[in-house]
Amino acid sequence: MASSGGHTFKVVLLGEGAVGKTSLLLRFVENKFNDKHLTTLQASFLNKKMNIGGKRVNLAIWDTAGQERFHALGPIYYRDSNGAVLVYDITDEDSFLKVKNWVKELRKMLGNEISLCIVGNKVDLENDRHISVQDAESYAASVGARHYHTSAKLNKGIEEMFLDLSKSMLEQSNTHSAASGGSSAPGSRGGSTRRQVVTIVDDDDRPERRGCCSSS
Amino acid sequence: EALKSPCRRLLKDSKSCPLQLHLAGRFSSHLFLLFSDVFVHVSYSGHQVFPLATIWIETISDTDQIKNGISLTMPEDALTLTAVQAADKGEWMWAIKQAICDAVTERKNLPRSSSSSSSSTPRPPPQDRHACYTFKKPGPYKDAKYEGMWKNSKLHGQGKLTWPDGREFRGTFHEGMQDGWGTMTTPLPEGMEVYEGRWKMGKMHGNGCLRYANGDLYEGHFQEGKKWGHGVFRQGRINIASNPEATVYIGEWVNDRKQGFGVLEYLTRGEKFMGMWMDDNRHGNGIIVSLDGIYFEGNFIHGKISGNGLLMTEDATYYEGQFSGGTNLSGKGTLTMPNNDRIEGTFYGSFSDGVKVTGTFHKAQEPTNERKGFSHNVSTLPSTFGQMSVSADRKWQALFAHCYSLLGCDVSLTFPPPPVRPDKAWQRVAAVLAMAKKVQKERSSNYISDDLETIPVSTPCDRLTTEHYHKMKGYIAKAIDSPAHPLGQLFEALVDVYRASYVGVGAHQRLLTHAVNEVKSYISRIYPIIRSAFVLLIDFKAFVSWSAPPCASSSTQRPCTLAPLTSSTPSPGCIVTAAGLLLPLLLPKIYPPLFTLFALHNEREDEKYWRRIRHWNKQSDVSLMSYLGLDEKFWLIEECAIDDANGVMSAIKNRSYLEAIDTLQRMSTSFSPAEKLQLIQLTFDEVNTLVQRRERSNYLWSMDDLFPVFLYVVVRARIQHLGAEIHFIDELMEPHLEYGEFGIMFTTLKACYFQIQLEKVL
Repeated sequence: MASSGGHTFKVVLLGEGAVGKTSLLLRFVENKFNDKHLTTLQASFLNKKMNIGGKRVNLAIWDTAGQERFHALGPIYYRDSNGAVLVYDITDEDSFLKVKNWVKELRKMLGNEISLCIVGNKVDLENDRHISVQDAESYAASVGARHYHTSAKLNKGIEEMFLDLSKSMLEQSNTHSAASGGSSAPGSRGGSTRRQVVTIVDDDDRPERRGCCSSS
Repeated sequence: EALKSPCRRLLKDSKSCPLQLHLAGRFSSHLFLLFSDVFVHVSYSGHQVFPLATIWIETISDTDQIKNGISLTMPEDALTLTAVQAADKGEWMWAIKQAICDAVTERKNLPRSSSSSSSSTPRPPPQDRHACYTFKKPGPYKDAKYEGMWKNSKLHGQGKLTWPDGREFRGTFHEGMQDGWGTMTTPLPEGMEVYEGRWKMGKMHGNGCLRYANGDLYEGHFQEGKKWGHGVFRQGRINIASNPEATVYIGEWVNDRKQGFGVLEYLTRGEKFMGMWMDDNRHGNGIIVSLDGIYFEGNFIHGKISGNGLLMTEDATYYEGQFSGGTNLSGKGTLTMPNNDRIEGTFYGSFSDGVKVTGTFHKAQEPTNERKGFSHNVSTLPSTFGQMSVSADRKWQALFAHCYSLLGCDVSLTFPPPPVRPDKAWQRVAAVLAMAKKVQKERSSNYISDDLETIPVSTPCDRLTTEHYHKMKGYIAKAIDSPAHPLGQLFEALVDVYRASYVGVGAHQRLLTHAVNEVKSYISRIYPIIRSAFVLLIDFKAFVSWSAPPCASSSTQRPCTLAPLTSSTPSPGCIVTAAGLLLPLLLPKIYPPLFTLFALHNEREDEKYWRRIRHWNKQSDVSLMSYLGLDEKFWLIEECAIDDANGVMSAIKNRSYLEAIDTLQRMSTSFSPAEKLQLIQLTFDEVNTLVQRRERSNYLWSMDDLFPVFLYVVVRARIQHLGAEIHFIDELMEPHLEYGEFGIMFTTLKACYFQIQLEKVL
């Protein structure tokens, strides 16, 4: 019953209304996804388990409302998150500007601890492209983010993007825990080891583990 | 002689049947007379009369020193007598025993057996008997008249002592001393002093209530006749104008003095001190709050403030620096304004009468009102806040120690003590309950139910199952409601001290942090106690889910049927934590004072929110929904509008989200974060079901669509202190829920709350 240690990462999905955040997400989970597994929030909240280099990673992906009107709610959603996926539509310049705003805000609020992925969606509409690949990639590099091109319609590049993001978050949490003396410091919530069965909320140094069998 | 009285008969005397005092001087002459009701010892100088009812007789087996000895014990005397011959001894023994028996039975008004004299072997007189006696010799009982039960010349059992000066004790005795439940009344010039409570070895010991002659009242623990342990002391009366110092102290005592942690409230002044005491003086860290909104934190030595303190007013102004006397600013310090401007210098005076300042003014460098993820204004507190307060774990230790000692732990060496073996703990629980029953019988009050003595999980098993967990939970819930159970005593006392701390003057917004920490500390300290009884519960801080509980039992016992969750998403039904177990039991008892603090803390935001809610709710559904940006397909009112005539429309349109709204409203009448979160989830469930039904297809929510719909539900639910509710959940929800679906649902509610404040009033 005891499973090997795993990480839970919180990932927020940010992007303007019509950039296709939701379809992106659905594509990513759809293989493992049938009606039975749907949560109440459905496409707004998804759990995805991954195995990266033998390590269990559980992604909790939080959708956000993309309307301009709800822009100010961002901080509430991305609080304590380990990663952010910023989606824009390659045919829509405004959506890219919006991404830039998000990046600025995220870096200001959460510093470099958060792993960022900038995603140009709708590459199936390459003919209508308004954001050049070069612009996008150089911008991403300048803010320490990775850049991806995806198409939710063609199911392209999505899996890869989430995989890379997970790796990056894993590295981040490892370097962070190494920095804080090999233990998960109280602040780094994503870095704390979470198990499927036995979970420790202990922020102390000693990772005492108790099975569900008698502990005495 | 003077002993002649009409109904007194001489039964035997030592002239006719020789009997001597053991070790009597050679020339002294002793005469012993046995009458029908008294035994008389006549010596050269005078005579002593011993009533037979309080004589216990025993034969002494022959030794070198004593031959044919008889021992007589009286409450204050003892005689060792010797007969010359064995036959004489036998005769005396028989006669005295018989006489005692008769005297005792007569006293009890039992029919006297006429054949008693004829029986050759009399019944031995009872060891336990009821008798009256007046003490004469010096001692605690001098001149007191006792009426009650005896055992072997000692007061033992129920009895009553009355002194000629008016003192009176009624209660239980053990081996000659007050022991057990008893009431002592002492008349003093100012009035009556009454103690009602437990005694041990002749002294007040254990829980009791002492009302002093001047009206002061102490309720709590005693040790060796002194206030010791946890207790409440009410001094002075508020209704007497001449007494400005009416106070209530609740906290720890040592040797009749305030020592340890305690809360003292000055009723007339409207001020409360919460901190450490020594020798009746403030000593150590402490907090003062007052009705005019002042919050003070500092360190005291023998009643005087020492070093720097922190003083905060109702707005965010605060002063850090030196003080004198009470909370008067005196000396070097820094005064910081709500906008972060500050003055450094020397300060003299008090905020109420004006402060004389010599110092330098510093304009705040930059506005620091940066939104840090809406962290509920905590950032406005100075960094030193709480540093000079007593840590929550230090508070009320005497209560926990008492509970441990009831469970048979030795608290004298280490605290918390090492856990006891569970079977021993259960024995103690049974003993405590039995004792409580006895006391209740003595005081003829309510009956304690028997099922608390039943161990809920008796069969040893190596796994925690849902069934066991629920049994345990049920037992604990019952135990904490029983004033007799050690856990119940602890809970009752904790609720009392919590209310004493945070009601009245204590309903002070700056105390919120302390109040929350105190709740968390209770949980972390109660849990190990419970664990000593239920070994199967997991260790504190670590938690565990049991392998898939049988569906039948889990679905019936959960308050709401949860949507199937992906296996890694924790749902509160399957993870056991100390907080998950105890918060739902503790919070309902302390909810009002605690929630008041949250409400005070979030007053300003809540007002802003409420103004919008009030306005918006005057709007019709259509205009509200379009204002909030709901996609028309979620309005769910067209069909009704089309189906019905215009007049009925208003009645019907409200129905669509009614269930969800109702569910969300129930949040304000639930008491624990887990319950509130479940209601939020249920609200989402209902919104979801409704939309799925209308859409008749598998609609997939994205947050873009869901958010406005939920916002609408929140607006219509009109929860008055939503900000306080959210803050409450934020502070007390279990961290393992934050990442799961509960996390995003709760975050969405939070987002709605802030969105409402951002919107125009209309």
